[in-house]
Amino acid sequence: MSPASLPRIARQSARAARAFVAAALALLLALIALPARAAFEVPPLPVTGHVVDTAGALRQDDVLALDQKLEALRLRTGFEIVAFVAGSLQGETIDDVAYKAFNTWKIGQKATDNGVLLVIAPNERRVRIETGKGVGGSLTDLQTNDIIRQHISPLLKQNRVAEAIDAGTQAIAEALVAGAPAAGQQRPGAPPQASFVSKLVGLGLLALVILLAIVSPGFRALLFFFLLFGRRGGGGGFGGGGGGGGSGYGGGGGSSGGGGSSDSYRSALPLGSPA
Amino acid sequence: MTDERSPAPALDAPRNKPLVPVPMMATLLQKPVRTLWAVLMLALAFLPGCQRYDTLVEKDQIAAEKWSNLEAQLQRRFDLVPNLVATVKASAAHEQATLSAVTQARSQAAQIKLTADDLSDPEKMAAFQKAQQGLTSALSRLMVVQEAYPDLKANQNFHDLQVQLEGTENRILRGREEYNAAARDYNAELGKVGGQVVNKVTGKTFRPRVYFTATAESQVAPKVSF
Repeated sequence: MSPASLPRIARQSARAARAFVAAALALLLALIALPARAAFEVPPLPVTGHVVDTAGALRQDDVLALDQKLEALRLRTGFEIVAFVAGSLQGETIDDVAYKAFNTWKIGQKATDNGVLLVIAPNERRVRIETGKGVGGSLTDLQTNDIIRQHISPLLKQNRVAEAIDAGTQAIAEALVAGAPAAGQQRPGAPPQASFVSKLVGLGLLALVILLAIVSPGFRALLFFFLLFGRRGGGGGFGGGGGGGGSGYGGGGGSSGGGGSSDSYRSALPLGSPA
Repeated sequence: MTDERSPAPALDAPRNKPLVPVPMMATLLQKPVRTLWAVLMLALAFLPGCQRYDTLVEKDQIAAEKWSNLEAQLQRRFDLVPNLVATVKASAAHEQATLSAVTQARSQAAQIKLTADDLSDPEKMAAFQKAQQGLTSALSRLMVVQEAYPDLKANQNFHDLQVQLEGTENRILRGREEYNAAARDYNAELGKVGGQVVNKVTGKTFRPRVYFTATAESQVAPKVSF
């Protein structure tokens, strides 16, 4: 073996090693990507956060109207209701999809867990109401099933999806408000009445901030950045800018333990025919 | 003369009385201070261990909470069964075999009660799961059988029980998932080097939790189309 051939062999083996590593990486990536594609992926909440339609079953003005109605309900009573029209369940059960979506969007307030998710799968003809852990008492599985059978399924059978959501969420809201402890007195969403002392403290803090802003340029810069960026991501976020008009509801801190009930419905009309 | 003599003590002063009164090292090496140092160093060495211990306790408690949630749902199902059996019996009396299977599975599930310690015992957990799964499959068979009885399906009471059972089965499924996730989190913490050291030092107080294993049968909770 000539000494000149040694570096060549080394170069060749290095190339082979590199190719092997690349192949192994590609295989690893493929293995990671494969199961991820098969499972149902929960879409992010749109600006019209109370209504998610990946099936294209709703008209835009229906989406906006329902979103506004549910946002008004949230502001009035604190209960957070989201309606999800799923395009395809990707072979999963509606129970799994509802549970996944509920816990991804974290519907409901963190402290009270008072969210409810209505899922409709027009392709699979399945419907489910998933309840947050905090509303299991006021909206029992039995009640959700009654709501589906009495208010939602009859309309879904005629492919009147928007009306089904409207009637269903209405019935859910009524049940929630009726079942809430001491309804009207302590609304779960309403901020607690500020006392005189806390108002005084707040005023004092405000005065301090203003004073510091006047005195210290460093604090001024900090305050500027805080006002610019600090408020993002807390609660609702920004509502749609250019004429979107969505509520911008972005979920909360709620979670579901699998409460609620599912049902299937038979459609009298072929899919996609007008109502 | 007096003018020259007065500044002399001021110049002498640094020589007699140094600015640093006692050398620093000497102070630090004095006996009581040395013990203080030793205690401080020991505390610093133990601090991460304490934090690790706290994390373990916290994750253990989260898993325990998930377990009790799951147990509550299992109990709920357990309580539903007698009503369900009675309702079915009224309309479908000659399904004796299926009904007695459910009753038997229920009493078997009742016999196995787990304490907090048993959750780290693979054998006891396996027995517990087997009993609960026996009840699951007996109930799902009952739910298939009822399809043949129109007056049972029309019975409002039966329908209500069925919906409640379905809801409970789903909650049990989620409860198992959530318990497994919490147990995995806790077991991982325990398996890490820090966790193992803490476990050794504190005398093996923490033991890994056993997971729920899903069988093909339990994946299919009783689902009935109306």
